[in-house]
Amino acid sequence: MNGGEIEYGELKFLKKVFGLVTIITPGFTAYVISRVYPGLDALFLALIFGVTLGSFLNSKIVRDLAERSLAITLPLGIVLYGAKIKIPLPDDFPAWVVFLTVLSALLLGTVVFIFAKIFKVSKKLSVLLACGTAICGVSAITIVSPMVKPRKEEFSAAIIVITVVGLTGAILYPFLGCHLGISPEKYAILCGATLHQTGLVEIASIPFGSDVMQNSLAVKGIRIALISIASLLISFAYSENRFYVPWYIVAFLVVAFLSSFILAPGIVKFVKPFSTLAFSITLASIGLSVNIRDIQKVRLSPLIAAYGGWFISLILFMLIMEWRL
Amino acid sequence: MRVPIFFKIVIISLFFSLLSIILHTVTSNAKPGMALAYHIYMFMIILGISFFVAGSITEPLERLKKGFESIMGGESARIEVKTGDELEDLANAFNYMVEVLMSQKNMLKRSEEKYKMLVEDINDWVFEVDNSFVYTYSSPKVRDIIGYEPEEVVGKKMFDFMPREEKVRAAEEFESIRRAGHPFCNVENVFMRKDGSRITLETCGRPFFDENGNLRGYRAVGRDVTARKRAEEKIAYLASITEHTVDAIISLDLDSRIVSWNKGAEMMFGYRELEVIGKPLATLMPKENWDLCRENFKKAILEGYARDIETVRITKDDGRVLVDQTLTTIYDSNGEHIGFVAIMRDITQRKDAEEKLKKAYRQLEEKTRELLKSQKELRYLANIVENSNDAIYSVDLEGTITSLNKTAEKLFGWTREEALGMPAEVLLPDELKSEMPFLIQKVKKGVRFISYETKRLTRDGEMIDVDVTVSPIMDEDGKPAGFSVIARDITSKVRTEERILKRILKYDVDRGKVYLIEKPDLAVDVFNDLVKCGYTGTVITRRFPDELGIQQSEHFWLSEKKSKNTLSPDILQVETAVMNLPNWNNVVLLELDYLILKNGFESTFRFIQRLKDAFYLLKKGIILLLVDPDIINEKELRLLRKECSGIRPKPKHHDLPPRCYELLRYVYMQNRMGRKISFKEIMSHFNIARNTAKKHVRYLEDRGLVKVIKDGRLKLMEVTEKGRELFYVPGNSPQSN
Repeated sequence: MNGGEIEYGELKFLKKVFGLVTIITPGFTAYVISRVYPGLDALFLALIFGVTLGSFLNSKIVRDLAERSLAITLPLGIVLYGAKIKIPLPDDFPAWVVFLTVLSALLLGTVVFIFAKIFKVSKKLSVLLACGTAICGVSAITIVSPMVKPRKEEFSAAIIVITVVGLTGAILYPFLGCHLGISPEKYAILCGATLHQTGLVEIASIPFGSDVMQNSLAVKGIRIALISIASLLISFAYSENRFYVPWYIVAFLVVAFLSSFILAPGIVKFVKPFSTLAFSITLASIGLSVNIRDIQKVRLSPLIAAYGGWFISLILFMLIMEWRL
Repeated sequence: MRVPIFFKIVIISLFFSLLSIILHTVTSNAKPGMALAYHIYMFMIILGISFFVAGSITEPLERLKKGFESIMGGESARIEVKTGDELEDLANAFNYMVEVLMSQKNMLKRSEEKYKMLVEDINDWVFEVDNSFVYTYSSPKVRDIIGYEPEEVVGKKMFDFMPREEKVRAAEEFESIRRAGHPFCNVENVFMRKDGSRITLETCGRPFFDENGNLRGYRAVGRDVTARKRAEEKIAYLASITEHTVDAIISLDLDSRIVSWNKGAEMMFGYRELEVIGKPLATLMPKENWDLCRENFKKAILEGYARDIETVRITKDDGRVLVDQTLTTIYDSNGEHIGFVAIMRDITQRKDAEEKLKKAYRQLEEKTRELLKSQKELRYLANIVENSNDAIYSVDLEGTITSLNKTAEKLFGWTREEALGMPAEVLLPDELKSEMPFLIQKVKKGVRFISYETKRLTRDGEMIDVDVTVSPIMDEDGKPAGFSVIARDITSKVRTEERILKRILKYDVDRGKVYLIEKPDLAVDVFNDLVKCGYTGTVITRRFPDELGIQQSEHFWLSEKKSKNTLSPDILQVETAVMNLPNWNNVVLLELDYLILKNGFESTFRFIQRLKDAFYLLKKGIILLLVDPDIINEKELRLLRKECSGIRPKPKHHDLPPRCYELLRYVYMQNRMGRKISFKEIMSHFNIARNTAKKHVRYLEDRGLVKVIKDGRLKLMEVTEKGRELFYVPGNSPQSN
């Protein structure tokens, strides 16, 4: 081996180290920012940072490393995300709350999916939008994406769209809560049952007091728990074999079960940030490997579908909630 | 649903406005720390929506851009934009434009294909060259015309396919065309096909120009006119033949009027073309041939042609020429009879030549008859030769026997087959081998006749004496080609003669020998004795015969002065005189003193050697050399003695007195020649008185050696048989001879 080859090897190693740093840094930064501002979703920020940094660097090595890292970070994030799930017991919530929450999730998912079909959004993107709207926003999209196998630009577009719609909700809900005269109890249910991300639920319910926020997060917990069912259903729907469920979904469910019923709360609390961190790195990797121009190609239809589906579902849910309560 | 971009922007603006109002309301009631978060949220919402709005505008535009790029690339493109706004209209307009373009393109393509097919199916070579005459397009027909593929031609210069000598000419020609910038037509150039053969192309082309009016090149059509050129050359060649042939070729219309008239006709009849065009063919015929002419025309129409052999035609100056005429009908391309062609050949000279030939033939026949007669005579002579009693054979100058007759076969013992091609030297004994070169040399020098006695060797090795006559044989140029030899067997005769002579002679001498005598008296005595015995005497000396006492001889006086019977003391002249002596019974008395004095001993000695050889070979006789020993030294004398024989007196074989013996010998010799001697002759010959003569005769008569016969008043003497016996050679009686 001559000197030139050694230098080339060293250079290649340095580039790899640089690539790893480039992948980890935006995810980690996003995670830190989300810790400071819970209203800014770490996954969304990681994606934006990844896309921005990828467009700026335009490095093949970084792109290759980002794609390779997905094989580790995504299953790890999904499995660890199980720790965030708190499977509700029958005594935890009144039945009608659970019912409304499940109904809201079904309604949101179905209407968004229908709207997406009306606006001729691709099937995979429609599923992602439906899951993201119905369950827990960006996290849900990230969890089901390995099963749906969307294109990266579809995946990125779904993340951005769901985030934008969720942020709109975060601004709109306090306005509705003040001017429509919604009771705190209903408002908590409304936020938990119809807003996308947990952070947004927290932001939207803070102006109405700590109790409302806790109740909203509890309702949101029911929706998050639905990811277990949704991931199972989707894995069945998209599996190449009839009853195939990916190992990381099984692991995710196991971790969810363990954290809900078996593991000590301290352990669960310790594990939770790692899930978010892994997802942040995953989203940053996706952002690094995707072209922003390709994301734009999905055009306005997913956004309209997501907005329209969410808005119609919101109205319907409020009517149902008014009618029931 | 159709929503124009304007309304979309209005809706989005309204949305943002509404959201801003909501934001304002929310932030006015929110805690101070939350307001920033809401504003950030608002910013992100606007950013996200703007991101997708921009994408909804740029994406169709990008697709349109790609569509245009596809169109620019010559490909079809269809853009599906279902935005329900102006972009969708733009996409539809684009699709329509593409459809129209594709339709036009297809039409253009079909048109192009049609023209391409037309260009490719046309039998001519269509091509395009730039302004440097480099091919930029070539129709596939080039394959058939010059054997190259179109892609082999494109990129090369037009002149690259021309032979070297044509290149320069064509380059100049096309350069002038290029300078003119005009269309050109019927430009003929020779091209070299791929297989090396040559073709002629006739090219027509039009220039084409760029937008600034600069000449960009030519589009041209090349036609293979090789066959046409060859046909033209062939027609020109045939026309040239027709024009320049010495035969008169006259074409006639259906009324037998002259339509064309070649130079051969001009030369034959003296009329120029303009003088005879339109005149009937009968103008050229005597009136008595007109009927025959009409018959010939009828025959030509019915059978296609008519021949008129050795017929008469009239020239412009009323002269008459004898011609062979062929009248042929001619047809047009539709097979319609349009006239005749009369081809006339002037045979006047040929007829004259024939007459001369006939005359020569008659002469040849006469000569042949003469030749046959000569051959007959030759055969007759050959028969004579063949059946002659003499052996006759011929020898060429190489010394090879070329013919011999039956007698020669019989005499020499060689058959004709064996002898032909055999060296003539075979017939010569060893000691005479030099005879053949001697004879060849003599014949070459032009000697016409040589006769001598010599010896020949038979196949059995027997030596025979022959009387040989050598005559030269001349070739057709009169030069000697060989010689004939007539040899007569005289063995018996010669032997008898020699024996008789030896018996008769006083001295023991042999024919063919050279004797040296140092005493003049002895020389004279020997000489006179030989002359008396029948030898022909020749004396060559500085002395007078009377002075010497020589009788009955031809005398040559050695002298520098030229007069009658004088002989120059030059060795060659003396040799010639001696060698040219006729017959073979010669006795030559040659006095050497003066010759040695004049020529020196060496030359004289070599001359003696030559004489010795010649006389030995030819047996021409005997040479007596008289020399005074005082004028030469001892050594020279010894040499002469050694080279020559000496004279010895013969032993006496009778007891008669010398005078009586001489008289008997004289009578005997005269009797041998058929003469009877009278007393008077004896008296005269011996210069004795009558009584002495009578006394000698009586003495001989008493011994029964002579008898006297009375013949009228004369008394003649004849030697008796007993007297003859004195001269007979033992074992050889005259009867036996």
